[in-house]
Amino acid sequence: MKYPMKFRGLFVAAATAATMVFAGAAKADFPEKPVEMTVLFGGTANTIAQLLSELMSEELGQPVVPVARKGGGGAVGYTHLQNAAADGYNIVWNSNSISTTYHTGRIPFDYTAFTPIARVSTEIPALAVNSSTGWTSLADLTAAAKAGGKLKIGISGKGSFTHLTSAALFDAMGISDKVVYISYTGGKAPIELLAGRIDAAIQWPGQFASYAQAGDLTVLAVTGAERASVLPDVATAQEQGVDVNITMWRGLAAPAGTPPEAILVLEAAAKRAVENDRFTEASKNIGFSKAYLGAEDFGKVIASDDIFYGNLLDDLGMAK
Amino acid sequence: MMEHFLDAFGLAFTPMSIAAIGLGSLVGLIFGSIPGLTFTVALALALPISFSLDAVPAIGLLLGTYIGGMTGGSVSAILLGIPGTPSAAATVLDGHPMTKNGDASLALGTAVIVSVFGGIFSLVVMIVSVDLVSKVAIGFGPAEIFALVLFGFSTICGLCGRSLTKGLISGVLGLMIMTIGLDLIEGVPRMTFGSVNLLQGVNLLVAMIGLFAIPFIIEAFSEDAHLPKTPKKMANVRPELPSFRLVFRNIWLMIRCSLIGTGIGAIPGTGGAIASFLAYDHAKRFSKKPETFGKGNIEGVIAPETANNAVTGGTLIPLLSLGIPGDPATAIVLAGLMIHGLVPGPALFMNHASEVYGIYIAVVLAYMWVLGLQLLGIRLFVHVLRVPREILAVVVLVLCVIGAYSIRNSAFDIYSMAAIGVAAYVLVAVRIPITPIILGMVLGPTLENEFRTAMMLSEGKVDIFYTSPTVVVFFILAALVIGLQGLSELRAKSKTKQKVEVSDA
Amino acid sequence: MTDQKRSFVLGSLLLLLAVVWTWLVIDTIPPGFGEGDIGARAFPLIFGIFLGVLSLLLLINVVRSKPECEPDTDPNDSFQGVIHWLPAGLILIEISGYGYLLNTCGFVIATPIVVLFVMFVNLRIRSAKLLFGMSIGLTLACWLIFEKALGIYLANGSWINIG
Repeated sequence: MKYPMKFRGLFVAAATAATMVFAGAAKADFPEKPVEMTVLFGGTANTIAQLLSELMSEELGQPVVPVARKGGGGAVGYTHLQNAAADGYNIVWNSNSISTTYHTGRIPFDYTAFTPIARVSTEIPALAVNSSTGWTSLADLTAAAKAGGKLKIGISGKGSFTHLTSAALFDAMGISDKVVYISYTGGKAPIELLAGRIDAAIQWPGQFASYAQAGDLTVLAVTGAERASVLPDVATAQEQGVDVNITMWRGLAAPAGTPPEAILVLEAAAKRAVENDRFTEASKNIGFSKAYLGAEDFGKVIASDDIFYGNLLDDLGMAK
Repeated sequence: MMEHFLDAFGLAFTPMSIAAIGLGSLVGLIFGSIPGLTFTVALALALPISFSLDAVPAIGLLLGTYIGGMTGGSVSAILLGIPGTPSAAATVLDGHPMTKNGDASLALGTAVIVSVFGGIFSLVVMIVSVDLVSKVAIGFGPAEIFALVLFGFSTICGLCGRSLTKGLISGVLGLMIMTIGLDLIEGVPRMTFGSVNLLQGVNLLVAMIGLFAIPFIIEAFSEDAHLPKTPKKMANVRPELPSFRLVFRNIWLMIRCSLIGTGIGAIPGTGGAIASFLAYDHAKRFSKKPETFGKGNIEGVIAPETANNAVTGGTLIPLLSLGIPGDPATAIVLAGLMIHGLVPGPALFMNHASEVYGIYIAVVLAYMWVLGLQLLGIRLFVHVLRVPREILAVVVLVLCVIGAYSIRNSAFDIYSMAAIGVAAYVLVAVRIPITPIILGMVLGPTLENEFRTAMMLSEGKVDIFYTSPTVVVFFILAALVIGLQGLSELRAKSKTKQKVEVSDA
Repeated sequence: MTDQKRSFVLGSLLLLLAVVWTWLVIDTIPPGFGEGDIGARAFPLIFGIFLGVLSLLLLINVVRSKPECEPDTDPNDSFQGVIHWLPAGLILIEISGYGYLLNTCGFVIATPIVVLFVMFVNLRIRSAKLLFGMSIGLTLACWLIFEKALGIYLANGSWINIG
C-alpha cells in the first residue's frame, strides 16, 4: 500500500499549501507564480512582447507568459483582462488601442478599467506608396488624389490604429473624400502595395524599411513629431506642412485594483528590461523606439491621449 | 555568392548551431507526435531560448522545431488517428487504416522519408527561384487566394465517402464554427451571445484536438469487455521500413506533391493543411486504384506527408522575402528573425546573404536530424500500440487537456474541446465524416476575409473574379472536381436504382 | 434505431440548427453597407442557408430511399453503429470538470482526481495499485516533463495552489 500513503502525504501538503495561499492578500514576495501577459496583436506588437516578457522573466525570477488574445482591434484581450483577477498576475501589453477600441464602441469600458504599469516603447506610423508611382512627397499624393479617381488605402481592419492614422492624415491633407479603405488581415498591406493593388498604406516603419532600401516602395511621410529611427531620410508630415502628430505608445497595464506593491515590482522589472542591451538592439532591428515612462507619468499620458483620440475620432466621424 | 556560402557553412556548422537545430527538431518531434500537444506551443517555448543564441543557431532552433513538429504530426495521425497538426489531418485517412492492417511502422517510415524528400525538394526550389516564386506569390491578391481556397474546399468531395451531402454538411459545420467570435475586418461580434470567451472565437488547434482525440477516447472507453481489446493485426508490430523500391515507384507522385506543397506554401496566408488535402485529392484522382484510398493505401500517406513538408520550404519564400507568416507557427519564426535583426524583405538578401544561406543549411540539417531521430523513434513509437487501448485513452485524455489549455491558458478552451469532441463522436456515429470539418475550419476564415477584401478592392464589382486568369483557372478546377464527383455519385445512385437529388449540390 | 430513422433525426436536428443559426445571424449581426462592403453578416448567413439546404436534401434522401440500401463503407467510420451515450456524456462531464478543477485547484491536484475518477467509473478498475499508480504516476510524469523539463505553464489554482 505504498501509493495511498503517498497520496495522503500529498493531501497533507495540499492542505498546508491551501491554508497558506488561501489568505490571498498576503503578497509579501510578489511574484510567486507565473505572470500572464495578454498580447493583443501579432506583428511587431507580438515580437516586442515576446522579448519583453523574456527579459522581465529574468528580472522577476518567475516566468512572464505571453498569451495571444488577438482580435477586434484589441477588444478581445481588453475584455479578457478586465474580467481577470486584479492580483498582479494578469497584465496586458497595452497600446493606444485602449482609446480607439473604447471610442469606436467596441468595449464598454475605458482606460480607467486598468492601472498603468509602465510605458515601454513608441512607434511612428509611416505612409508608403509603390515606387513606380513616382510620388516622393505628400504633396505628390495630394495632387494625384485631386486629379484622378479615389485612392485605395490599405489598413489593418476598420477602426484599427492604422485606419485612424490614415483618416487623420488624409483629413489634414484635405483629401478625405478621395480615398477608400481596404482592410487586410495578417499584415499583408506592404505586399498589396508591391503588387499595385492598392495605392498607399499606413503601417509600421519596420515593415517598410527593407522595401524602401531595395527601392520597391517609397515612404512618403511618418506621422509623428520626430522622424523614425529606421527611416531617417523620411520627413515627418509636419515638416511637409500637414498638421498631424500621431505616435503610438506601447506599455504594460493591469486590471484596476491591482495591489500597488505588485505594480511597483512589475514597473521596476519593466524598467530594467527596457534598459537591457538586448532590448536596445531589438529596438534598432525591429524599428521602434524605447520610451520607458514610470506608472504615474504613463497614467497622465494615457489620460491626455484618450481625450486627444476621443476628439479626433469624433471629428473624423469614426466615434460611436 | 560563393563566399556567402562559405560564410554560411561557418555559421551553420558550429557545434552550437548543430546542437540547437537538433534540440529544436527533437522538441518539435515530441510535441508533434504526442496527441493533444501541438508544435505551435513548442515554438512559443523555443522562442525565448532563441533570444540568447546567435542568429543562425537561433533561427535553426526555431526552424528545427517547426520542421520536427510538421513531421512528427504524422506519428499520432498514423498510430492513433489523431493528427498532431491540422496539416496531418489528411494523413489520418490512409495512415490510420494502415496501422489497423498491421503496417504501422511501414506507414511511419514512409511518412518520414517522403517528408524529408518534400522538405529538401522545396528548399531547393526556394533557393533556385526565390525571386521568381515571390513575384508569382505577390500576384496572388485577395481574389486569387479566394479562388485557390475555394478549389481547396472542393477536395471535400474526395473525402466524404459515399454521401456528398453528408460531406458537405460536415464542411459547412466547420465553416460555421469559425465565424463565431469577433469578425476580423469590422470587429463585429458574431454568435457570441455576449460571452467574453466566445469573442476570441474557437481556436483551430483546440477544435482539432477535440474532433479527433475525444472520439478516440470515447470509443476506447465504450469497448465491451468481452470483445478483443485490440485487433490482433494491430498489436503485432513488425519493425518494417519502406524499401527503396517502394519509395522509387512513387517518385513521380512525390515530386508532384512537393510542387503542390511548395506552391501553396509560397502563397502568403494559405498554409500546410490545404496543401496536404490538395495533394491527397490529387493522388486519389490520379491513382490506378482510387477505391483503395481510405483503406490503407500507402499513396494516401505519401501525398499529404510530402506536401505538408514541402510547405516548410515554400513558406520560407513569403517569410524571408515578404515578411508574411503563413500560419501561427511561422509567425513565431518571424518574431525570431526580427529580434535577430534579420528583417524580412528584399534587403535581407542583400545585407544578410550569409545568414540567409546559413538558414538554408540549417533547414537541411534539421531534416537530417529529423530523419535520424524519427527512424530511431519509430521503434519506440510502435510500442504505444501494445498499451491497452483504454489505458492509452486515459493518457490521451490528460495530454489533450494539457494541450488545449496550453494554447492560450484558458479553461474555456478545455470546455469547447470537450463539447466539440462529443459532438464529433455523435457525427461520426451517424456517418458524417469529420475530416471536412477541419478543412472547413482551416479554410473558412481565409475564404471569407479574402472575398470581402477583394470586394472592397473592386468597390463591389464582381468582375474581379473573372478578369484574372488565375482566378478563372482555379474556379474551373473547382467546378471540375465538384462536377466529376457529382457525376460519379449520380452513377453510383442510378446503379442502386435510387433517385438522384444531389447531383448539383 | 435503424439507419433510416437515425438519418431522419439527424437531418431534422441539422435543419433546426440551420434555422436557429440563420435567425440568430439576421437578428444579431449588422449587414454591410453595399458598394463592396460585404459586411460581417453575409458569410454566416450563407453558411446557415447552405446547412439548411443540405439538411433538407438529406431528409429528402432518407424519405425516398429504402432502409436496406446504403451499405456505407466510409473510411472515417470506424465505429459502425451504436452511439454510446453514457461514455460520451461522462467524458463531457469529466473533461469539463477537469477544466474547472484546473482553474480552481491547479494541475497537480486536478489531474489525479480526474484520472482516478475516470479509471474507477469508466473503466471500472478496482485494483488500488493500478488506480493510484496511474493517477499519481501520470500526474507526476506530466508535471516533471511539461512543467519542469519543457517549461509549459500548467495551470495553477485560484483557490489552492501547489507545485
